[in-house]
Parts: sequence; C-alpha cells; structure tokens
Amino acid sequence: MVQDGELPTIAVEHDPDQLDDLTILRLTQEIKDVEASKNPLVGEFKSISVLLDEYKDATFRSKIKALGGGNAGYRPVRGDGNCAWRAFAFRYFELLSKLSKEEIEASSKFLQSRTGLLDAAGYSETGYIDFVEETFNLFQKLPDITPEQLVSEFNNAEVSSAIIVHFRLLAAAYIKTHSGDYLPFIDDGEGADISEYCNRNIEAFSVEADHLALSALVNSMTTVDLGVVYMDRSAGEEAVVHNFFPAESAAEVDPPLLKIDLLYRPGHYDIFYK
Amino acid sequence: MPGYTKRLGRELSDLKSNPAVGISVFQADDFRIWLIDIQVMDNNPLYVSKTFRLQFRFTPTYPIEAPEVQFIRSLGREIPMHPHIYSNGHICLDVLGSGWSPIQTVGSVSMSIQSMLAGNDRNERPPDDARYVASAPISPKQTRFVYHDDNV
Repeated sequence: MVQDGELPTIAVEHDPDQLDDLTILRLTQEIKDVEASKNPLVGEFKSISVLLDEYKDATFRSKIKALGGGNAGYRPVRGDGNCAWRAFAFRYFELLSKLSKEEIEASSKFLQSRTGLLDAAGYSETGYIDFVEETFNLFQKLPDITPEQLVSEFNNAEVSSAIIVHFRLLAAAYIKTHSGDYLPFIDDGEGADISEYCNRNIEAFSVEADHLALSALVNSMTTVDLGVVYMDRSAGEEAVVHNFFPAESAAEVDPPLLKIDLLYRPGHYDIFYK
Repeated sequence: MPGYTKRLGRELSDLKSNPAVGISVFQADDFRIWLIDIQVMDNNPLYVSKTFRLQFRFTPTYPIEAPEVQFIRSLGREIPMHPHIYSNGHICLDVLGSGWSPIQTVGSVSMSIQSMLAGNDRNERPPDDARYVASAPISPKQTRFVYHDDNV
C-alpha cells in the first residue's frame, strides 16, 4: 500500500533493461492497483457544492451555481479515456435499476434486439459475444440490486470494461450501417474511411468519446436522450447544454425512454444529476 | 474460468472449424502462446511457396488489450522480408498497437498481416533494422514504433 504523497518505489528496484515480461506485467498491475485505490472507476455521488469548492474562477463558479442547488450533484468517473462511455453506461443501469421488473425486462429485450446492428456491421459473434453477455448478466441482477451493489459491479474492471466495449461496438455499428449520415462529418477532404474512423475513435478501448461517438451511441440505443453540460471557460453565466436525441424514436416500442446527463469539463466526463 | 480463456476457446474452435485460406493453427495447447502459420495466397514472388510462423502471446487482459504478436524463426520458417518487419520478427503494424480494438481476433490479425505481406513488393527491412534489433525489448509491445512510410 502506497500512502498519499509518497511516490511508488516499485520501479526503482529494477534495472529497466533487465525487466522480463512477467515483471513488467506485475509492475504495471501494481501501478494500476495504486491508481484504483485512489480513484475508483465509478465514485460516490457528490453534492454540487463539492464541485463549487474546487473552483476559484468566477466563470466556473457562476456556471456551477446556475446548475442548481438542492439535490443537484455529480458522480466522478475515472479519467482513463473511457469516462464518457463508463459514465453513460453506469447511469443507464442506475436509471433502469429504479424501474419495475417489467420495464427492466422490456428494456433488456429491446437492447437484445439491437445486437442485430453488430451483425449488420460485419462484426463476428466470436468477437462481440462475451461483451454483450456481460451487459445482459447485469440486466439479470438489476431487479434486486442495491445502489451500492451497482457501484461495486461497475468498479469490477472486467464487468465495466465489457459493457463499455459492447456500447462502443453498438455506436460504431450504427455509424457503419448509416455511413451516409456520418461521412460528411468524418471526411477531412482527403477522403474518409468510415471503418478506420470507427476503429481509431470508437472501437479502440480507452479512446475518449467525441461528439460523433455520443451521437452514434444515442442513435444506436434509441431509448436514451443524452444531455451534456459543458462546464468550460467560454463566456456566459450558464453552462451550455448539448442535447442528443435518437434519430429513430423508440416511441413504438415498450421500453421507457431514459434521460442521461453528463457533466463535461475539458477532457473529462462525469455523471450529472439535476 | 477467466473471461479471456472463454473467448480464446471460441476463437480456437472458429480457426479450426472455419479456417481462412492460408492461415492455420500450428500449435495452441494453452491460453498463453499460440503459433499460427500463414501463407500469402497470391503469386507475390517475395513470398510464393513459403510459410511463415506467427507467435501470439496472451495475458488475462486480452482482448481488452492487444496480444503480443511477432514472427518467429523455425525449421523452414524464415522472417518474411518487408519494410515494416524487423529481422528479429517484430512487426510494425497499427492494429497491434494503437489501432487495436477488442473486436479483433487472432484470425483477423493474422489476415491483416497476410494482406500486409500480399501488398508488398519491396525486398527489404526497415531502415533502422540493425539499430532496432540490437536494442529491441524482448516484447514488441514495449516498443513504440515509428511508422516510416504509410504508403507501404
């Protein structure tokens, strides 16, 4: 256990030229464990006043105050390149966990039906099935899950990573199967390659979500409206909010529509609670 | 059973039951190291009638993280000549590094490497081959490759 303020000494004992692969693996894991103990994948809910205390800057403070008082708050998510995805996925399951068993069942069935997108995009079942299964394993536990158990599920890296990959693949598959809608935004003038864009920006683990990725994620799920509160230094008393609505509405299907809010600060997403 | 062995088990049965042309499993006895033989199927004079051997090394973080992949020398198995393949078998290929994604499989990586060979007509090593091989880490995953020429 490394205490705060004390640099990990593990690397010093080793001559970098002499490290074998297993040692590198072990050291990497130790560094990750130290990081994890300080900074969980999904943290605890915090009141908006905690956020306010972090800032002295007047622009930020006025924007944070305008977010609302009372029950408003946020839940920090680890900044590891997957934060938008993890924040979205956690909030998705958190909202579902408060619904009735029937509504959870309907949501699960509907999301199952979206697996067809993965096939349509040409992904092999061998490649995606384990990730998809992890999502539906969690669905099975939802009706009886406590808030603490859900946080703990998401702090299990294997579970959380798998669900993130599932959601990344859904978003990438949506772009691949609707390439005409996305090509104008991807084309940099030198000819765009949808497949390469998806590989580099969406399918690759630990690559942060851009605007297109979030739009594709919302479109692929069709049962979620997403609002992103931009907490940055731009002028104005209130933070700008970008809303993402699914292009195809799921109004004719059973699952309830969910509303997810994320709090964006340059380079990082957390979950926002109004 | 950890997740990655389940995934690899499924991949192995795919590779055996539905093999891609020119790609065959030479050895896969555990979930640590697999050896895959590949052949280039067109008549590229550099590789015609030759077989090359790829070594895949997995850790429990597979497939979230990329496997370690390189060519190995063996009886009748040379390291293919290519401007992105070092003489120690290390391969400079996007999909093995920053271009990796968990949807990739041993089969899809093998096919990427096969097509990388098929498209090559230069009988040469990377320009820094001697220097790299003299100081290369045991694992190619410890190397941050510089892409010399994206046109190859």
